[in-house]
Amino acid sequence: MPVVLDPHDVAYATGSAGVRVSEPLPRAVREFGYIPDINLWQPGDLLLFSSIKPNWIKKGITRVQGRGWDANHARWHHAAVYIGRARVCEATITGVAVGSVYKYVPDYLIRVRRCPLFLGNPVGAYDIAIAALTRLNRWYSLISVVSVWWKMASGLLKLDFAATATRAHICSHLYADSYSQATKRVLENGGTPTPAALSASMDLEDVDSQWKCL
Amino acid sequence: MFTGKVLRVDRIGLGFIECTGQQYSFTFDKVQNYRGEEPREIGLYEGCVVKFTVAQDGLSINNVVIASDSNA
Repeated sequence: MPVVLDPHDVAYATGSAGVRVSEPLPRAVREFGYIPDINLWQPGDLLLFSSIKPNWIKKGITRVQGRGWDANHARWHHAAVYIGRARVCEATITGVAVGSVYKYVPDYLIRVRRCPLFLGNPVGAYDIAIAALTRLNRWYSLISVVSVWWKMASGLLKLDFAATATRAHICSHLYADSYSQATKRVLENGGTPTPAALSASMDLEDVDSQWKCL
Repeated sequence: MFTGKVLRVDRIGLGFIECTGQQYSFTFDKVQNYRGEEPREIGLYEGCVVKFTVAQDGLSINNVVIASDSNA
């Protein structure tokens, strides 16, 4: 089974015309004909997104992350916390908000990662989702984005994942801070918590994902 | 199987039915043949008539079928 959900590769898709969905799907998703099998995900999972047709901003993110990480990690543009029922909690340009995961189908690669501390303990995993939800409506920090960008561009990115509950939010900080709040631990791999760093983190394990036919 | 009238359809995927003075709620995944379309496209809208079955708890709905004579 593929670890990365690639809309160009639906060979492993399961089911046929039998899946039940609980909300209206965007037209693009219905025309695509497949949705992620969200039954394989659990609240608290990290979702990473990589645009298939990146605009100049996303190309810039890949380029800057590429100075610290190899291409497999640098390609991830966005991070979000899965909270269940096809919803994600994410830091967007308008603040921390809840949105549908379906808006990323079929224009993004999707990768799901999970904290192994909560294997077999889905109730504990909820704590990451809840920690993310406590940050709802916090302002997105353009200053943080520029700061991370500058540090990565200038080779000063060797900050650690220290929990900083008060810092403003960009997408990957939201997961890293929620992880720290829920686990009382710090994600360790020696990088600023960018999407690439979350992709590379040894503290998280990939979750098998697959497409499901509509 | 009961017959009721849809009181409200919410785009987050929730609907409410009234039947003999009792109100029931359902999620769209309980609607027969629903595949993520806009609810109105399959005839699900406020005021339409549906047939539904209720679970043993007497509160939750197992299955909703949109009646073909919805405007009746």
